[in-house]
Amino acid sequence: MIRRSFIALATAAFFAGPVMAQDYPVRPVTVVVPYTAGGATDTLARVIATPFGEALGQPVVIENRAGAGGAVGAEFVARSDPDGYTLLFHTATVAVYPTTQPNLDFDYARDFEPIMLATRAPYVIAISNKLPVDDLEGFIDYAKEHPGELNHGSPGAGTSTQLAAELFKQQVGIDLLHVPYGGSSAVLTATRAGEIDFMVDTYLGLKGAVDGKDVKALAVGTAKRQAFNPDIPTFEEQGVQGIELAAWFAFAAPKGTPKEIVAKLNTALHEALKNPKVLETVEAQGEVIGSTPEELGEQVNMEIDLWAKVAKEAGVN
Amino acid sequence: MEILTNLEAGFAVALQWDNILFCFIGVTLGTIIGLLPGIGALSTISMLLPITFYMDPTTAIIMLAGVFYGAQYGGSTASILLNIPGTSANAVTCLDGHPMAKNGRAGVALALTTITSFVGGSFSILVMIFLTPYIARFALEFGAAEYFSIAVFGLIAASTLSRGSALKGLAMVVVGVLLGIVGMDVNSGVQRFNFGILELSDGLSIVALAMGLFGVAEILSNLLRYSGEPYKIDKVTYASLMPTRQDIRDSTPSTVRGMLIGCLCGILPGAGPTIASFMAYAAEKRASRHPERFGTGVVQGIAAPEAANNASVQSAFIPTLSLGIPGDSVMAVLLGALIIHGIVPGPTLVLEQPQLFWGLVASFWVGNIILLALNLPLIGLFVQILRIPYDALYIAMLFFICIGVFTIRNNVFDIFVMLGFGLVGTFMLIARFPAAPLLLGFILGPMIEENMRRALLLSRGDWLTFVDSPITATCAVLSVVSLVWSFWSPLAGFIGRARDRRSNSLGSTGFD
Repeated sequence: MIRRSFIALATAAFFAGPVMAQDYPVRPVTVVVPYTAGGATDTLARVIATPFGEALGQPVVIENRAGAGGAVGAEFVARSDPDGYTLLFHTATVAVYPTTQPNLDFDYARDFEPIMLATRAPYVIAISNKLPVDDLEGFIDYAKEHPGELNHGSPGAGTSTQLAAELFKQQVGIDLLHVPYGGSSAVLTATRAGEIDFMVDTYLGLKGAVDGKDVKALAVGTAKRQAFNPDIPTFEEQGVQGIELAAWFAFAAPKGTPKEIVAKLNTALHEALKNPKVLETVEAQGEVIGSTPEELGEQVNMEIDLWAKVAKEAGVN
Repeated sequence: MEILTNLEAGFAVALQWDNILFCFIGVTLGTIIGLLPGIGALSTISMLLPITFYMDPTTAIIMLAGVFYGAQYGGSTASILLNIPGTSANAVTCLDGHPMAKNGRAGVALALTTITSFVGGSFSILVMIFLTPYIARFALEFGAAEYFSIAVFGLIAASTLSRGSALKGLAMVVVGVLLGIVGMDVNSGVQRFNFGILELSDGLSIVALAMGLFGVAEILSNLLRYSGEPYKIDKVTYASLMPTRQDIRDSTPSTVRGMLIGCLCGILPGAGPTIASFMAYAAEKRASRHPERFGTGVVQGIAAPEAANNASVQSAFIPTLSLGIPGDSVMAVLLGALIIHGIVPGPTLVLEQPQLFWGLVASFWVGNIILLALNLPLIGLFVQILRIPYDALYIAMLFFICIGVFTIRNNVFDIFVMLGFGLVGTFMLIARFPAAPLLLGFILGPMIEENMRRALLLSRGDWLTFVDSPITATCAVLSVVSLVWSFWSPLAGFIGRARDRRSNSLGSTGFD
């Protein structure tokens, strides 16, 4: 620790004297994406990176550190210097770690400084064409008449996608058998073939199958209908109250990053989220949120408790 | 007609200038590494992998695939001129190719192998065009039980068909399966065998494993044997590249038989180009009225194996692209490359990514034509590459391999994993344990486990799900048959003996 702080001090001294928020940033900012290059999260991060860098006045560099469902990259940032030059682009999965990976060496509240919940991608409920129902109410009734007979496909046990689906199942009181697959596209293939009856995914993954009428999209997990496909009705319109299901994407910094720097980053991100190219990418899967740092912190805290409860009830260890 | 439209769209992709360029780079590199004994397509593909991260996935796969089939062209050149197989799939070509060169017919031998390679490759591309979309559409209906059965058959075929001892093959499969278990279990979310190391929670990196077992082990074992002298090229005359009419007449039936055997071997999991070329040579010898002349420089002896290995490298793409089940270790790494690019191989690939699939198929032809042009007139130039001192080459390769493995996850841990498996792989080479079945076990093992558990979930615990559909029942029968066959078949015995003979006479390189 002493050594690390020494290096941190030396680095800071070399570049800008003591960390001086008003001069920040004086060199490129690294955003760690804890997933592989080319994936959906990485693509979004890269699209935001360019205007984000323009707003900051320094280039923003994306660094992929994939592994352990994002935990490898998150841990790397948690251990980085809190100088505003290493940030984390993360998903709602950070709120699932305490439940599914309790042995991790970091804790969101203790190790991170939230910056902004930037965008979100609502989950869409999709079912197999082989089921004799066409809307959400019909599906819920059908599932209640056939308890334990229908299959729910997920990209893996303990993934946030599975937990979102479990939350829905618990909320409407239906009993489907959970069948894990190795990834979202495998679930979709199985749903197309009729092996799986029910799945949730963001619209990015489902679009082709929904457009090609290979699966039925029953509902979108947000209060309002979404621009990517206004034909998909919401939960509330179909009598399901009280839940929102959405994946989201956020920026965080290591704990101890000066408040002024966090504020500067939040402002720059607001600017970046107005960029037409960013809007185009985001609206293909959901919407811009652009929260305050506090709102992101509260969201994570709320979801940590939520997913712990959902997982316990669903029997996910 | 649908196929013609698709092909037209494919050529539109393959003939974009950047795709032609990268196809050219791929096949040229393939020719070069094929020519250089001891450097395989697998290590080259893994080294190139990180460079492709920011390329368009189609372009990336076109280049990587080019290395694979390009190597088969270059490999025969080394066999003919040096009597050292550039890749193990070209080992049999030495038997008649080198005597031809000594008889002053090196030019003819090179021309013939290039032409038969082209014919064999083209035939498999045609088969691929007609078969893959059909299999893919069929496979869309496959459920977990079907995938389980196919993967089990693939694994059994891979272990029993591979080299020498079936027992060693099986043992390596088991080691591969065990290594495949490391990391998070998809079914329960539980971490297995990660020893508390965060980097292991997604399992071992396939690239690190493959690079260690093949690339690093290849380099280390070559260094152990390497004398420091560059290869001596025997004096050969290029007087005539033109085969005589008699040569063509003699070699045509062999080419046809070779390409049929090769195409089949490529589709079968585990067989691959090496076995294809050995089988084709054996078949020729048996079919010939003058088997005693084999080994003295007969054209049949080079036409059949070269048609076979090229046919098999092309048809190997069929199961990989249509089912997502790799038939050999190179395909396994290409599969990994697709996944890194966010493309999930499987039946939906052909239907949902037509520009990738048809573009790739069309690029095969572009690549094969480039190879024809490269290998015939420019052969003299390529041979000069053999003068590179190997110690410099190996150090450079090791360096690039390390960079390559690091870049995939920006993780130093993977470099150590790779070096560790490099040592293990070197030991395996010395002790003659085949590495290919290990890699297939690593890929197919988790596939089998996941699909078995999934199938049982879907059938609510009914084991009959594994035999009650036509596909699962067929695969179950095939699996049992190939297990039994592998221990008693005279053919399996022949392959084993042929391999032993080769490794005795050529040293124990032998990589698939």
